[in-house]
Amino acid sequence: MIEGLFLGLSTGTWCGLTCGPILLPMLFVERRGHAANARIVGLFLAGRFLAYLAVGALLGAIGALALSYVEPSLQHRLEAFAWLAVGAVLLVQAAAYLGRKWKVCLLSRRLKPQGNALVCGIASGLAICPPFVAAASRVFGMATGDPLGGSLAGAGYFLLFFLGTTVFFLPLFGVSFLKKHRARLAMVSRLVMLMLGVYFLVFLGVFRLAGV
Amino acid sequence: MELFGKRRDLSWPAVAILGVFGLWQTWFFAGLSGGGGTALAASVTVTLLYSAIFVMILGSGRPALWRRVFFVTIALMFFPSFMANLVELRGSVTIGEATVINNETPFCHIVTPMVLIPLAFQQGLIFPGQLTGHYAAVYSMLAIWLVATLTIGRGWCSWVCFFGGWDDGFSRLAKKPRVDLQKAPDWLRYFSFTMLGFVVLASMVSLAAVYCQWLCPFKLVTEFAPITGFASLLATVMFILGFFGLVVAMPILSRRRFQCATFCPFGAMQSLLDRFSIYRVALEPAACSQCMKCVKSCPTLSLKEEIIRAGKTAPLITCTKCGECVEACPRGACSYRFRHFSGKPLFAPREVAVGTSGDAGEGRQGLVRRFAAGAWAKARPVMGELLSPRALFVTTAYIFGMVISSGFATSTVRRLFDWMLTGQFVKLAQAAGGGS
Repeated sequence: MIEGLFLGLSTGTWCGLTCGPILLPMLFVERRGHAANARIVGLFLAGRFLAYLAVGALLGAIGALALSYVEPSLQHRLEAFAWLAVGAVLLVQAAAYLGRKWKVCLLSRRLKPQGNALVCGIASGLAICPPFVAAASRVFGMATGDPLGGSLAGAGYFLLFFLGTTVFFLPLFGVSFLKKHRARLAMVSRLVMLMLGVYFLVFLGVFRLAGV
Repeated sequence: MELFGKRRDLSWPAVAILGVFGLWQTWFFAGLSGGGGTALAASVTVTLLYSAIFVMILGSGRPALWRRVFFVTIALMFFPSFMANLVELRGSVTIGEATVINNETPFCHIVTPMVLIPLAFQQGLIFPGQLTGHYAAVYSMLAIWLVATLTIGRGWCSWVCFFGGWDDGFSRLAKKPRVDLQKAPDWLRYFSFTMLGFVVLASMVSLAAVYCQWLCPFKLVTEFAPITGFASLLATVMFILGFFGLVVAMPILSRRRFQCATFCPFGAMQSLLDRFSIYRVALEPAACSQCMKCVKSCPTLSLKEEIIRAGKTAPLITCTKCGECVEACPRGACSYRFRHFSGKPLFAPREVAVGTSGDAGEGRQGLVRRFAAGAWAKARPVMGELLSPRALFVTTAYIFGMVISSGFATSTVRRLFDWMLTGQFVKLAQAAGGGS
């Protein structure tokens, strides 16, 4: 099972490439203290952890049966739905920030970035990337036919996999130490968040579901 | 339009020395393709044309105007050669499946910010090009970009980029701006950084060069995917709107290089890396009369009235070192400087007593010494001019622009000569056999 940790450590750059872009604008979008910044990163990672744990337990429980009974396009759809969720969250959060500035958005006082970070973490945990597929295939192989034991083993494997990949997110805790040009960076980040929201929602979400 | 200005920074001896150096360098690169007939004629034509423009940049007193001529020439020379080359190689300018599968898409510098992070962390290229062994391979372009970044920095965007000449040219078509961007809001002034953040992050997620797929306004003058479905139709619509909106309409309406100033992610990356370059544009508040001519002349919105009023010594980081403010300032308050060297200029002119015997001695030795002292007194200021930041920057920037463009400029001129002689711009016989 320790293999999960090493798999996470060896493929975590990929996770950083895939999930980092979702988290980065959230961190730069306003000036926060170290604790608030750590809370956002922590909640995002907690979201990923929950998603991994759920997927690990599920795959461990059903084992190779998943390959026989689950529709092959499920991965594609799951990924598209994950991007829809991430896109929608980023879009709404960007609209809230920009709306606050331009005083047009009703959402501006209701949205909490922490909640968004958690949702995005869960969704990004479900956005299936190659390391995720590698971990899932190992969990298939570990299935023993015992649903409870399998789910525990699967969850354990994904827990270690998560810990391995989390190493690559540690630098994000240092964002709050950046002091220079933070106001300008926040302005740029809000627009980046808006554009990423549109891109994830439309191009990676809707287009994939529609088969465009 | 006045082709010559009243104020010249370099003396004629300095211009002549640099001009000969430029001629030699240009001939070296423009003549690389070799061959006789129209190829030789094209090499000679490009060498003479480029060298003449370089001399005008140095000695006409209108450096910004002639820099623009050089820059527009690069852009106009690039696309006929590039597209004709593609037709000969593939039979079409569209990117077919075979091109993508075989990784034969030419790599342009704008893709750089998108590929660097995946290349560093995954050792994978997210662009359907080749790392080496191709006429527009990734590593060769990255090498040129790296050296250019360390020397001229964001000067790339006014001297080297083979796309920038389009909106630079269009920005000077109208006599007066219809859209005033002098007081543009900060979000627009820094929008290229938003584009940079977006394309880098989106490319990391999707492992594809998002800017090339959906946003590049220069697809119309390079290559594009054939329309095979809704996605490619949408991309084509965005390319067309991008070109005519950002590169043609907005520069004409605003008299600013709108695309370069507000949209180009590569430009934003160069701005961030500019601190590693040797040269910068400096403002001298003590000499400034606050006439704001520099602000009006800046094509990339890098100067604001607030900057001048506050007595700042540098423009915004988006400055592309085009020299418009240097030319526009009537009091010489804008100038090229070394970034990390602000001491006494090398070979600064100083008074030398010529003709007095002093300690030169008598007889033949004294005569030689007096002659040498007199010659050095005349050569010294010229040496100072040659080693001045302005002369060194302009020469370096010209060399980079010429190295990048001389190959396709020669190809375009050769094709024009071939077309005049044979009626063929593209070698169709090869295209029919070589199409993929």
